[in-house]
Parts: sequence; C-alpha cells; structure tokens
Amino acid sequence: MQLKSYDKNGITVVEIEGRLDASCASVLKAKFRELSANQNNFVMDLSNMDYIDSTGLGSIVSCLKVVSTANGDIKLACLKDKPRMIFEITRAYKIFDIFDDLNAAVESFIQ
Amino acid sequence: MDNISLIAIDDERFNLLLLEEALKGEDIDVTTCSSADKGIELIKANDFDVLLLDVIMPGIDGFELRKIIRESRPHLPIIYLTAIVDTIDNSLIEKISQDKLTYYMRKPFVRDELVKMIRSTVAKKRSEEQSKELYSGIMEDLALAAEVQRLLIPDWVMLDDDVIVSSIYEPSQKISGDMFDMIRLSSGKYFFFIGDIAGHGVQAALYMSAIQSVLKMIIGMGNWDITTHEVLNRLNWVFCTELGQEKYMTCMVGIFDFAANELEFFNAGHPNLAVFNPLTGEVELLNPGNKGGIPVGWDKYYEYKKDEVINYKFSDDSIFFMTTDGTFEISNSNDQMLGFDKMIKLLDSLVHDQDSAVIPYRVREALPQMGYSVPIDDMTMITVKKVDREQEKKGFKYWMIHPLMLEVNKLCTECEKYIIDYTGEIELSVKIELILGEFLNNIVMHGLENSQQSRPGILVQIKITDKDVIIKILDKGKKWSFNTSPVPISEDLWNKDEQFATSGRGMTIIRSLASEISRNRYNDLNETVFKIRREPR
Repeated sequence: MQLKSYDKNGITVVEIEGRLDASCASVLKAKFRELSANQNNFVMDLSNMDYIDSTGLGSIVSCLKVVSTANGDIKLACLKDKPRMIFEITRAYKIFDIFDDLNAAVESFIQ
Repeated sequence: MDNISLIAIDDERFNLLLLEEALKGEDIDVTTCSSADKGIELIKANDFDVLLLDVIMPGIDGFELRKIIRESRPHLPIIYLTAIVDTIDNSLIEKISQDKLTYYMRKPFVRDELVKMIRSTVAKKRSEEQSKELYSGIMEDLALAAEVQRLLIPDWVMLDDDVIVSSIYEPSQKISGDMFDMIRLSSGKYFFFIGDIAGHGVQAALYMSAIQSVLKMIIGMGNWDITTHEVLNRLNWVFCTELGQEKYMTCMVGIFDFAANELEFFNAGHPNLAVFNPLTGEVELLNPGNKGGIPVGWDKYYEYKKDEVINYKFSDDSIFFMTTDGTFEISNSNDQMLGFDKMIKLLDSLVHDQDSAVIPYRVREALPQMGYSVPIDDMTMITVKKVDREQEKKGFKYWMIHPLMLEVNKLCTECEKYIIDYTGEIELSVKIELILGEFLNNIVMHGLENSQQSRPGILVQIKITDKDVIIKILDKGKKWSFNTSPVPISEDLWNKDEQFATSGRGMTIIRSLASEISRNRYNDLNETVFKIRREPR
C-alpha cells in the first residue's frame, strides 16, 4: 500500500494506493495520527485502492472516530468496483459519505 | 568444591555458639540466627546449601518452620538437631521422614559426625543439581536437533506441479529414525523415498540425517539414468562402508511418472505400499510375487536386482499410502499392537470420501479412539496423489502457501482471478477473496502461536460447482473453534471497539458470506470448509 497526502482547498486529501489490509492497516492509522494533529476534515481518494479487508476497513473507521471527537469528518471518494462491493457487503458504506468525484467530496466540506 | 554455606536456626544462643565453634576451620560458611522469623527472611534472601534446625522453638516448632521454608526453598536440605528422644511409636522419626530432604542428628552431637553429615547432604544436593542441569541441557539440545531434523524432511503438505504429498511425522522421542522425501527429477517425474532406521532415539536420528544427505547426493550425482534398484545398491554400499554395521534400514524407493501414470518402486524390507484403486474402489497392497530385497545395511555385497522392481500402472485418482512400522506397532493398554492388516482396514474405510491430504491425519486421529495410544516407535504416514491440472479447467484447483501475509495476499489475488475467469461473476470473486483473506490472515496472525513447526504450510482447495463454490482450508494452527452458523452483518459491526477490529469483524464477515461452514480437527490438522452459494442464473 502507498499513502500520499496533500491539501486541496483547506481539506487534507489522503490517497490510498494498492491493498489496504491486515498487513498495512496500522500504517494508515499512524499516518492519520500525524495528520489529525493539525486537521480534522479529510477526503480519502480511493481511486487507486484495489482491495480492502476488515482490518483495513476497521482502520478507516478508527480514523473516523478520532476526527469525529473533534467535530471533523472523513469522506470517501472514487471507490473502484471491487472495494465498493466490499463496502456494500460489509455495510461499512452506511457510516461514510461516499462520493464518485474527488472535487465533490472536498466541496461537501465547504458547503 | 565451593565452600558450603550453612544456616543454623536455634533459639538458644549457646547452641549456636557451640555450632560456630564446632564448624570453625572447615570449609563451611556459617550463618546463625536465633529467631524463626529472621531465619525465614535469610533463607528467602540467600541460597544456602543446608539448614541446621532445632525441633522445638518458642512460638513455632521446627516442623511448622519446615513447612514455611519449603514454600520458597523446596530443595534445601534440612538437618534437625535435637535432644528429644523419640517416642515408642517413632513419631519423631516419622515426622522427619515425611520430607525426603530432611535428616536428623541427636544432641549432644559428635563434631566429626555432624561435619560428615553436612558434607554428604550437601554433596548429594549438589550432584542432583548438576544432573538436573545436565538433563535440561540435553533436552534443549534434543529440541534443537528435532527442529533441525524437521527441516530435513518435507513440510506436512507438499504441492508441486504434478503431485500433492501429505505426511504425518511423529518421533517417539523428540527425534526420529524415520525419513521420507519426494524429489522432482523432471517434468512429471518424481523420486520418492521412505525409510526407517532400526531402533529410535539419538543414534537412529543421526543415521537418518546422514542417509537423507547421502540420498540427495546419489540422486543429484551426474547424469545417470536413475533406477530404483541402482539407487539402493549405491545407498547400501555407503551405508555398510561409511556408516558402520551397527544399524540397518528398511526402506522403499520409487519413481512416479505422472505423465504416463506409472510407478516403479523397490521395497527393501519395508511395510508394503498400499494404493486406493478408484477403478475397483478398494485399497490394494502392492507386493506382487513378494518382490523386493533385504533391508539396507545388512550385507554390503548384496545386489538389488532389476527383476525385483515392481511396476504399477495407476489412475489419475489413485491415492498411494506409505508408512513406517511405528504406525501399526502402536499399542493399546493390553500391549496389543494395531497390526498392519487392521491399519489397512482403517485406511480402506477412510479413503473413499476423503481428500488425500487429510487421510494420514484421519488415521492418526482414529488410533487413540480405537484404544491404540501407546506409540513404541517413530511414526510416519504419507499419502501421494497425482494433481491433474486438467481439473483446473473444470473448476477444481489447489494452492499451497506459507503462513505469511504476503503469500495470503498473493493467493487471494490468484483465487479471485481464477473465480472470475471460470465464472465471470465479479461479486462472487470478491466474496471468495474476502473469505480467504479474512480467514487466512486470522490463521497467520492468531492461529499459529502454539505450533511446534515454524512454518507449516496451508493448503487451500477450491471447487466450483453450478450452485456453489466450496473452499477447503487445511492448516496446522492451534485448536480453535468459532461459531459457524450464518449471521447477517449489521451496521453495529463498525461501532465495536478497536480490539474487535483485529479478531472479530473478519469472522462475522465470513459468516455473513458463507451459506455453510464446517470445521473439523484431525490430530493437529484443522479442516475448515466454506460453501458459498452462487447467484442463480
């Protein structure tokens, strides 16, 4: 898994590339701890995420809990077909706002 | 010898003074103490060699004190010094002898006799400690030797292009004189070997290690047309000339040709090779005309001849079963052995509807249930079956991985692709990938803690039918049971705490995706089967 982050209109975008699973979920959590020191609103760009398992989902949920306590939020954008199915199968989609477009996800914070 | 460190506890200072003077000039460091409480503290804090103790003291008697001391120093020798004369029923002696590290000397004592008793008591204690240390050192070495030996033989399951080999290997004393190997010679051709050094324990194990290396050397030596009788001739020569005449070995050497479905093998005094013949539906013993030769190591001039070689034509679904005699020499509480015939009967009852990889474990599991639970020799059981790659085009495929997350990921991706290629159903492939990923990572992360083997492989089998996909997973992880009944996923799953994230959610997801889950444990092998329903077309 590869992680990249950048600022877009005052919102931190985190790009996740590859597989987010038990072998690397802790890396995402550590990165998030670092980023959430200065920012509470995030968009996860998942356009290059190939697969996610329960531990990977758990790590995103855990990040969401961290930012929620500071009135922040995490929006998900550009899910590929396979991960989208996993979000549906596991009902994890119910706790996230999911957007097809990255800009729409970022703008949803500004509105 | 180091000085003896001695502590004496007596409420009468006069007695302690007497002792100090009596032991002066000896290589004995004396600590004295007139209070029981202080004495207990000193004993806890110091590693004394011996304790001299008065039987009667104010507030506590010497026997009560002994009980307290034993909690912290179970092996400290105690010598009671007492003026009490025993009663007619010997109750004093009886109380003393209730503890095997307690001795007794009458007061007033004779100095030399006391010194002699102290010396002999401490010498005994030190010698016992040395023996224990030596023993534990030997046990550690043996454990290491067992690990090294385990590396010399194949993993419990071996999956290659043309063959799947499953084995159970159980030394009777940590290390074993049994051995086996399966070596790929060329495409479709495999050399196999199973052997049993007479006896067991360290000597047999050392022979086993030597033979294992010699065999690899013979097979790998130059470009010669390997034949089973010639391998035995070379092995016998090395065994007799290089390894001495102390031991011998029964063995079977063979070559499988899975392209032609032909087996050539030579039996050198070893238990017969059995085969499940799917055409007759029976287990047959392959010993036509009682062919074969004497065990290796009996006679260095003996010649293993070509006309004693057995050739056998088999079917794609034939299952070969090999064993060492330890398997059927296992005994019950009446010292009755299982016997070869009964073992074959047991095999015959299992082989029909069983996966070849599971068979050795089902047989092993059955033995104690039949009352045979006293192994007297090393035990090895192996099944060999052809892997028909044509089956992959019909929705049946095996994978074998080592328990590493990286390999789990690779397998999941391959399985997902296999399902899509075969069915064209993307959602089904995602479900399969999820089940495999969740379950296998669970084994890798939580399931192998108590495993003796460092890297026992995991075998995965997928069978696609019109209605279902059946995933079978065989692993050597710890005993672990979980709720196998289907459960729907609720949003609540994601509100659980962090702890749940690493071990609970995955199983819930699996249970929501599989229409049926079954779980069995055969000896130390877990068999888990998931059935995933396909959407009707």
